[in-house]
Amino acid sequence: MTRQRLRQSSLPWPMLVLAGVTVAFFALPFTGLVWRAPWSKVTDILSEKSVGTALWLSLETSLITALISCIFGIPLAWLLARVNFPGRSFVRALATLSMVLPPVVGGVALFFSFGRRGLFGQYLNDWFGIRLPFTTAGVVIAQCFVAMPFLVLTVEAAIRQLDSRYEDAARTLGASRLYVFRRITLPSIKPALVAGVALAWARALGEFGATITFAGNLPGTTQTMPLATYLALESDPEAALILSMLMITVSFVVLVGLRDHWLGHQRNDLVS
Amino acid sequence: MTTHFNFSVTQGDFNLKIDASVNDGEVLAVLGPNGSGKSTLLRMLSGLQQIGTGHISSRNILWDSPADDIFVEAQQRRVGVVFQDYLLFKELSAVENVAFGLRAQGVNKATATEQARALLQQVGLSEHFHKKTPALSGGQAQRVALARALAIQPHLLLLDEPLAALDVATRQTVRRDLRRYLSSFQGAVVLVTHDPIDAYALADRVLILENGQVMQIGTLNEVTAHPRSRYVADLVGTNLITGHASGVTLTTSMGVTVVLADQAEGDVFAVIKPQAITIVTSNESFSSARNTWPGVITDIDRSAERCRITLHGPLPLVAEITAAAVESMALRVGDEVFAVVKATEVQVYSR
Repeated sequence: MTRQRLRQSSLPWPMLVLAGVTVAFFALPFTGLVWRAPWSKVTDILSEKSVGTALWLSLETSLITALISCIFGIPLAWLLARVNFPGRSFVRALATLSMVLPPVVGGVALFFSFGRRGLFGQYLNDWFGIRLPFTTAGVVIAQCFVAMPFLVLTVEAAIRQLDSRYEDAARTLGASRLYVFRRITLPSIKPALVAGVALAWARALGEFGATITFAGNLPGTTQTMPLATYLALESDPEAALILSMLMITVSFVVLVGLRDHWLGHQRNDLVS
Repeated sequence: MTTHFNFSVTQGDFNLKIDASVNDGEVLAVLGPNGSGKSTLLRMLSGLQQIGTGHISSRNILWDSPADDIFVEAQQRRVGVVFQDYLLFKELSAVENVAFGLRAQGVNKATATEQARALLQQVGLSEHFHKKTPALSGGQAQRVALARALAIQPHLLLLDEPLAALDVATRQTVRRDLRRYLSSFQGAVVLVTHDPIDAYALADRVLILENGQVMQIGTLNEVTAHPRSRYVADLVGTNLITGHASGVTLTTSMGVTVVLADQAEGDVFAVIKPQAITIVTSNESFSSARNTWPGVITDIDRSAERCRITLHGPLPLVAEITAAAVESMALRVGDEVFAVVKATEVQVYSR
């Protein structure tokens, strides 16, 4: 006990002060939001049909995005981490470019590529009758474009940190590379995978710029919660506050839940 | 049936060049200092890495031959590997580890589990089947690793320092058991080790690898009787002299003359056993020994009733004399002495 106390008291105060400022910086905006929220009108606003529609659309599209990110992002992460091919760093930069781009720029790029008159979009339309802009599918495309890199980066880092000799050992036992991935690699990176999915999902849930540029703002089809919140801010600021509170609550509950369930006690398994 | 490997491969500055073969039912020990290319050899044989030129074949099937554009990957070779630190899968139990290879090849779960249990019992592990592998002791983990490698019925079994991770007490029993399993194993075995005791206990033949080159290959007796490098001489605990012979004299590169009992010509090796060397403090007294070399004592290593004396001089030597002799002569590190050796104690063979 004495030892514990000694260590506590020798913590460097500049670190504590600065960390405290950071916590306050994150906490104060939410405090302001909670303070100003018109709690008496919560039930009225939440029971409005348009709110329910936007919330449902947000959950639906962000979950589909999370799923698609897994299906396409995990193989890419594996390739980047384990296969030494020419142009690997170029591919890595390309796959993570949308993380640093302003989302609006991403939306513009999507529009000129997959829009109805876009480079590829016109063929999608002419040959298959597929239209992406101003559809729910367009919302998912915009979200994937912005959110998938979070999963790719997280999973790639995790695979890279794994001791590849375990995968070698599995191969000498006659396991194909796919089987090795499924039985050895994937179980070992589970915590990182969950974290990656959570990050991608959270990013998709909050997506605004690319969505409004590429998919527009049609209630029921492409108007997700962030879009509804932004619009409400102009017409009905009290509703905007309530919608913001709702999104914060959903995100916070999911992040805390994931952390406790997956990332808390499994960390020891990562150390090999 | 035989596994042949004759190849060379270059990795950065390091070049490995090897030509050897192992028969089914035979254990070939690859002995060499750190960095001699032992691990690289295992990666090539197991198919985790490709060779540069040459070929590797097992039972008349080409596994790797760049000239023919043939490379059979690790998962398609019948090679079992026991890795140095075993690399057991942590998320799986002992039985699941052993069953892994069978499951990967499509054997159903019940059959694979049954075979895995039988194999574990064969290697002397009759409990802890369902323990996760991090909970196993070193000796138990070694047995699981061996059973896992044997489960796929390999044609070639590779053992990478299989006993190095064990403590001394466990090592002896595990070595004894390993010897028993290896004698009943049908395929060829390549055992990589830096411990000559492993080679003595387990191997039929020994390959000495140094700096990526095969220095010597042969039965243990052949190799120890005629060491061809300092490394082997040190392993055997004998003195190796390199030089040029003409008639009954051998001249080393340092210009030291060694008198021989029999005629020899050309570049030769000579060995002198440490027990054959007599230490005297003065070279003036008459002796029948033909060789007397000066030296300074740099080390006296006592074990039980014997001492190994390391002499530094134009001809570096290790002599073994009794502890009683050291005491009566009051030998100390730094003393200038003479090593006396009869010509008949110098064994010469050509390089």
